[in-house]
Amino acid sequence: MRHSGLDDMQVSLSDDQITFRDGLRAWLPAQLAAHNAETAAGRSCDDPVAYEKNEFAGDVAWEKRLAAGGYNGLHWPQRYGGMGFGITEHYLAMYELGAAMAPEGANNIGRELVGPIILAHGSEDQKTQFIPEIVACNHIWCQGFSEPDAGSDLANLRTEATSQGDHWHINGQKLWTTNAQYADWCILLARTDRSAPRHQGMTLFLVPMDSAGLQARPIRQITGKHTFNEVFFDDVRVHDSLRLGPVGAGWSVAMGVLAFERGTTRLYRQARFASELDQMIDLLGAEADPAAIGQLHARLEILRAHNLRIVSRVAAGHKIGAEASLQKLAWSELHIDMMRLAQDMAGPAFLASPDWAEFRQIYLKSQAETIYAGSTEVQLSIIADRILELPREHRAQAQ
Amino acid sequence: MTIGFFPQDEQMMLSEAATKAFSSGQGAATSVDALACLLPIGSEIDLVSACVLVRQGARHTLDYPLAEAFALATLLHHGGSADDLRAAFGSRQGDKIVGAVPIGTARMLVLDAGKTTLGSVNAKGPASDPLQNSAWVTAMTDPQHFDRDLRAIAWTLVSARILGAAEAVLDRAVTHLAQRRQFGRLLGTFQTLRHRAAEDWIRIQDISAAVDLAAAAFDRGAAEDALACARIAKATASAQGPRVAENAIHAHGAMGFTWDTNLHPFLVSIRHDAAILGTASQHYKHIGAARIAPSKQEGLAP
Repeated sequence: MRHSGLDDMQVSLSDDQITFRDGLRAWLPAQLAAHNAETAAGRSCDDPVAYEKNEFAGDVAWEKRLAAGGYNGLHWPQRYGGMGFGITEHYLAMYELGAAMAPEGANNIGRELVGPIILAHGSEDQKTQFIPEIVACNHIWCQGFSEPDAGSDLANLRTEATSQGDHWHINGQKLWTTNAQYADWCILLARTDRSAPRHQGMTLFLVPMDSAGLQARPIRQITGKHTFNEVFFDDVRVHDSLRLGPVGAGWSVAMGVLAFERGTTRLYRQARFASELDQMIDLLGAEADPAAIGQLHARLEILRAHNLRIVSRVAAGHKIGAEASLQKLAWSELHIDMMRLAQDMAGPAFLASPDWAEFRQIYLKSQAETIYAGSTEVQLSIIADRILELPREHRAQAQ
Repeated sequence: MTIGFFPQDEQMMLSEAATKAFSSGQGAATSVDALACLLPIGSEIDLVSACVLVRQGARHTLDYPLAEAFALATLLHHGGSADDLRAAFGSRQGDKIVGAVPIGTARMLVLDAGKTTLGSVNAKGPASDPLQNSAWVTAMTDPQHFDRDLRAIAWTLVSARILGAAEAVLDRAVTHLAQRRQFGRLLGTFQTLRHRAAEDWIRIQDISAAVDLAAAAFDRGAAEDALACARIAKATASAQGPRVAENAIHAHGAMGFTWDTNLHPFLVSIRHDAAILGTASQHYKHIGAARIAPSKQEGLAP
C-alpha cells in the first residue's frame, strides 16, 4: 500500500487545494519528459567537469520550468513574485515533485534558506530585490556558514566583518559551500564583535559572488563530483544595505533558518525515498528480501507521519521546535539504511552494474546527509538538551 | 475524536481523567469501571480515545487487560464492567491455540484475517510464570466464531500499551540520569548516555506516530489503511519498545537489576505485548511482501 499526499489525515484539503494538486499531477509528466529530452545530450557527455556543469544547468532549467508553470515560490507573497498560496500548497507540491522524482532543483539554498529568512527578517528593499529573482531562479545562492574549524560546532566560526562607514570589510574562509562555483550570491554568517559571547556578535550578510577579493575553489567529494567549495574572502567590501537583520543577531536568525532547513522540505525527501524504494524493488527482482523491505517501508510510513505532524503544526501557525531534529535524523539515517540494505540485497551488481549507477551516487551522497544541516550527534544532543532536559554536557568554551 | 498530531484538548482531558483513575490506589478493575469507558470501538468509543486510555494504563502499570477488554466489547457490540470483559489474546501454534493467560481469566480471543474466535480457557494457578502471574494455556473450549476482523483494533491498542510502558520507563531513566552522580559528575552529562536516551525518545516518537496513523485511519473508516498502518505500528512497537525498557534498566546500572527498582514489570509487560499478535519480524516480513507485490505488478505493466 502506498500513500499519496497529505489528504489522509489532519491536513484536510479544500476543493481548491485538491484542484491545485491535481493540476500539478497533470502538468508534471509531460514537463518531466520534455525536460529529460532537453537535457539528455548534456548527460551523455564523457568529460566529468563538463558533465557536472551540464547537470547543474539542467537543474537550473528545471527550476525555471517550474517557475514558468507557476510552481515556484508558491507560498510567498505575490508582491514579491510569489504565487500567494498557503504553506499547504507548498507542501503538496513538494510531495508531488518528490513522488515524481523530479530534480530537487538548483537553488535549494535560495528557496529553503535565503527566501524564508529575507521574508522574515529582511528590509523591504531586500525583499523587492531578491525574492522575485529566487522565484524565477535567476539568482543562484550558496550558504557561507561552515568553516574549517566551525562545522558541527558552527558557533566557533571566525570569518570577520568589520564596519567602515557604510561598508563592511569581510575577511576569512568558508568551507563545504555547496555550488559556490555556480552561485550569484552568498548568505554569509560572519563575526562582527569578537568581544561578545560565542553565540552573539555574529551578523548575516548577502554577498555578491563576483565581489573583488572573493574566490571559490571546488573540492572533489567521494562521489567524484565537485559540488563543495572552499570560499576565500580577502577584504571583500559589502555595503551595509546588504546586511540581513540586526548587527549581532546573526546566530539567532541563522538558527531559525536551520530549524526550517531541518523541518519543512522533507516531504520531498520522503516522497522521493518511497519512489526510490519502488525502483530498488524493481531492480532487485527475486533478491528483494521482504523482511528488509518491510522495515524500510514501515520507517518511510513513520517518516510520513512525522512529516504530517510538522505540516499540521506549521499550517496551524505554530513554530517548528526541537521536533525538527527528530525529522532531520530520521530521514538521513533512513536514507543511508535504505542504501545499505540495497547493497546487501543486490550484491556485487550494486558496485558495477549500469542498472545501479544512480543508486551508487545516492549511496555516496547519503553519507553526507547525516553530517550536514546538523549531524546526527548534534540532533541527539539537541533532543537531550531541549526535550529530555538532561544536564548539559561538559563543553569547552571557545574564545 | 480526531487526533491532531499535537495533542488536542479532548485527548488531554481524557488522558488526565485516566491518569487520575489509574493512580487513585483503588483496584485496577474498580478504576477502569470508574471511567465507564469499556465500550465497543467504532460505535460508542473511537480508537484514538481507546488508545489514550490504554497508553495511560500502561504508564501506571494497570493490572487489567484493557486492550483485550476493548476488543471483546467491540466483538460483542456492547460495553460492560471490567470483570465482565476480562479476556486474553491467544494465538495459533500449528493446529493448537496457545497463550499466556493471567490467572483468573476465563476467556480468550483468537484473531484471524476476517474472523475472530472467542472461547473459554482454564487459567488456574499456580502461575507458570510468576512475573506475569499467568498460566500457559494450550486449549480453548466452546469456541464461538464471529465474522469480524479485530486485528487493526488489537494491533493498534497493544502498540499503544507498549508505547505507554516505554514512555514510563524512559521517564524513569531520564530522572535517574539527571540525579545520579558517578566519576564526580551527573550521569546525564555523559554523551553516550544522553544520546542513548535521545535515541529511546526517538523510538517512542516512532511508535507514537505509527499508533496515531493507525488509529486515525481506523476512526475515519479507512479499513484497509487502518490494517496496514496497525501492522506497521505493531511491528515498530514490538521492535523498538523492548529496547527502550532494556536501555532504561541498563541506565540504572546494577540498581536496575533489582526487584526494588521495579522496572521489571514494564519490561515483562512490553515483552509480553511484543510477543503476542505477531512479532516484529513476522509483521515486517508481511509488510515487505505486500510492498513488493504491487511494485512487481507495476513493473510488468506495458
